[in-house]
Amino acid sequence: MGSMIAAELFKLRKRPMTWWMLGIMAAITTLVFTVSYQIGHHSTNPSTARSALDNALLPKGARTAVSAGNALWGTLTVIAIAVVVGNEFQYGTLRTQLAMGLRRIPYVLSKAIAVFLAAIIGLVIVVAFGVGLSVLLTAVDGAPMTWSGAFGQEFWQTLGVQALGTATRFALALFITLLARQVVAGVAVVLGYTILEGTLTSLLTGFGGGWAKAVNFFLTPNQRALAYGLDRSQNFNKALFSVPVAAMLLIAYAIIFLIVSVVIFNRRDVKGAA
Amino acid sequence: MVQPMETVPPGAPMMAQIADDRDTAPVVLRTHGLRKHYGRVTAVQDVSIAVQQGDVFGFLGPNGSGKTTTVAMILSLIEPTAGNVELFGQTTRKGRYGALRRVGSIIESPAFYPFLSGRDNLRVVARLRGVLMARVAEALDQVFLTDRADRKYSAYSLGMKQRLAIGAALLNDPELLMFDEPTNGLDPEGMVEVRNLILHLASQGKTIFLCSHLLAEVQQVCTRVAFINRGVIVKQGTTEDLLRTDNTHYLEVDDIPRAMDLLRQTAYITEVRPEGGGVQITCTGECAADVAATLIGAGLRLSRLQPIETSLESIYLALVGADAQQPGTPTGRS
Repeated sequence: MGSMIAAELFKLRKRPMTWWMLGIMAAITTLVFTVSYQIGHHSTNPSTARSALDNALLPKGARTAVSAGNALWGTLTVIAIAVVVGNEFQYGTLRTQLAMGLRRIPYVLSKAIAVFLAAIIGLVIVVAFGVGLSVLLTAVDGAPMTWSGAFGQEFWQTLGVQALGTATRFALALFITLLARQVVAGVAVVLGYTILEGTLTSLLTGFGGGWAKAVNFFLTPNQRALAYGLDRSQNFNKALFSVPVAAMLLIAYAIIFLIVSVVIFNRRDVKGAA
Repeated sequence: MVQPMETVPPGAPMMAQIADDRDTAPVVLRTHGLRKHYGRVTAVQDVSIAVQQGDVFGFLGPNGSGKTTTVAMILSLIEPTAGNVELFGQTTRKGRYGALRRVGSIIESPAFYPFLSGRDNLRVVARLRGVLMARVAEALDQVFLTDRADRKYSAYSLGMKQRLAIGAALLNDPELLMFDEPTNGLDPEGMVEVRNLILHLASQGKTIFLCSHLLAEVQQVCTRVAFINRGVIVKQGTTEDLLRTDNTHYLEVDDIPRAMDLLRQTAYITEVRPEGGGVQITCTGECAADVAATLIGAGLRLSRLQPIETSLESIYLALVGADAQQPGTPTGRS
């Protein structure tokens, strides 16, 4: 399986898509820091200016880097797994490779591991880039380089929550792509789910009672439950699951999607290129 | 593609040499009653074939006859509805995973990543197969792609793609090669190179399973042949035996009706029919000398007597009839 992960990482490194995605995330990060810094210096509202400048400079800049990196990371990671797996069907390489005697379960798991690993590496690079920007802006601004609290609990919690929420959607994208044998389906269903989930959440919350509780089993509310932790006052639904339950539920969803994906892939016939 | 070889005439001595050891060679691939249904459609029905070590096995049939489905079942890509596949003695799916590591294959068209160069594509295959990276350069050299190895695969011509696929199939030095239309998209020179490559590989003791529509090519390289039509094996045997089956001659005499009467009464002649300005006969064995003696002995003037060469193409057309497409036409999925 190690050689399969290595092969997938090699392909990811050579794919123009990988570098485009990294470029997009870096561009967004640059934009966020530039805008924050400019607002910090040009806003007529002193409190807005203060807050914006804090976000651009250390130590709070580290958290801003994570938030900026996260902005599209989840979506891009979902697109990446759908493209990587869907392309194997599209190019016909799946058939050629399985005909080499590669076992199917390690084959599909190695793709999932490699793409998620690459996504995490990408996020780390972009966050590091964002922290670098914050350091640069702090130096330009002549502010003190204060690292205390930059990488506190909130920093890691934000990363963890995003990684867990993305892992669930990632597994769903893998499942749909393998089921439909298409890139488009994997991306569309996951993005479509996000839109549908928002609509359903509004409807069910509107109905109230038991209907509103059903929302707790959706993905986003559990991500929120994790993100906001004990501070539930910020949420529309006061009855969100606790942090451990929300985390367990997201992990369970990810595992279920992954197991179903693997089982389907292992049993189905592999036909010609799409 | 490999070291230049001497021109191999039809009916090749090399083929005969390979055939000498064939009878005692172990079976590397065997299918028993292989069957595949897609809903109510039967794609393949009771396909039983055996490929011995050193065979160059031709698997022939028109589009949609079940060739690729059979190959896909052999390669564990498709699960048979019934029957089983024995590959290097392994019959279970788990066992066949190991056996497949001894196989190199091209299924239908070449399949690679368009965003990678030819070299990088082979590097991916080498990693997946656990082959040393040094083999990549050797394989590229073997298929004459070294000078274009660093170009993107998407910029390759179809012939170059086909060569790269052959290079990838050879990367792990397999014992069994399964080629599904390996000459698709190649120019005549490329076809000769592939034919020579196949003969070269066969001379090295490799076993080759070849699906092709180029019957003349198959006739020149294959030691055994199986014809499949509508999912059923309609004929199989050694190329030598198949080509010997019909001993057909064309003759011209001064009195055709009398000659036909005479020939119909001859025991070893199974068929007599008018053909063009003469008569076509089919004998049970070699009969030219006896036919000439009979006709001349009866006072007829024999002006022409020549054997009609049987080819795989004529056998193919006779077997698959209207289903047959024009030989040489590239295939789609079957």
